[in-house]
Amino acid sequence: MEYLIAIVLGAVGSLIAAEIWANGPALSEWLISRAVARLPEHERARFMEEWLANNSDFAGNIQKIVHALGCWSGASSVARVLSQLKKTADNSDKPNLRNKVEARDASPPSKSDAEAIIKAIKLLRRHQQRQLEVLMLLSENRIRSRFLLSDE
Amino acid sequence: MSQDVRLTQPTLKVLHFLLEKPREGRSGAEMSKATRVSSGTLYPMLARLESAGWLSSEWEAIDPSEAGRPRRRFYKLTALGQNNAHAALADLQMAAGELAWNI
Repeated sequence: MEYLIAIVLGAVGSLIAAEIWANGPALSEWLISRAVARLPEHERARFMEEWLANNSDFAGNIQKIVHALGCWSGASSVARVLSQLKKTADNSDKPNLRNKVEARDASPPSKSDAEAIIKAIKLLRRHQQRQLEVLMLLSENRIRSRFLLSDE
Repeated sequence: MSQDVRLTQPTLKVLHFLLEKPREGRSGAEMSKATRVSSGTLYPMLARLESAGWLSSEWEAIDPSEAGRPRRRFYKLTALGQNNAHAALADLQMAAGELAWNI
């Protein structure tokens, strides 16, 4: 009985091995496509082409499958490196306060800015004139009341 | 460009291989065959080295539709990579020499 089981298992094993051998390139391409699916979307096309090109440089089907399995197992580490790199790039793109101040200083004021500034200066002058007038009036009234002077 | 590079044995093997002809670009398949570093170790390592600025990469100058195959991606050491790789390998040789001397 054991002899029969060994023969059947051997035959099934050979069939599976023959099937893998026949479909080796397709299987390795499928494995690479699964590996690439684990990468950030914007990097998938690059790695798909690169890994498929490398896969075609391996001669035997077994080597191709081993290479593709390596792609699949290493894809999560590659994804980690790529996402870290993207995070670093995003942070360096964010303008900080110093950059904002430098950007503001670097850009020359426009005509509308100048007009707004002049309007503000005029308002301030009018406000200060009114304050000065009130102060002078108060002082005048105080002096008149002290020296009992009548209004002119 | 600020990633730390772990100088493991496979990394040193790949750096040594790239230093043999630093001006020539090498594909992942070439590196894997020459150094016997598996693709599962090689590709994350290449990504780390490239993000750290030790390696630069470029596409093979072919038209894939004419060639009937996808383009290879060639990696080579940058000036920073060459300096760091030389230093790392020199440190390794020095350490190996000291070890041999002490034995």
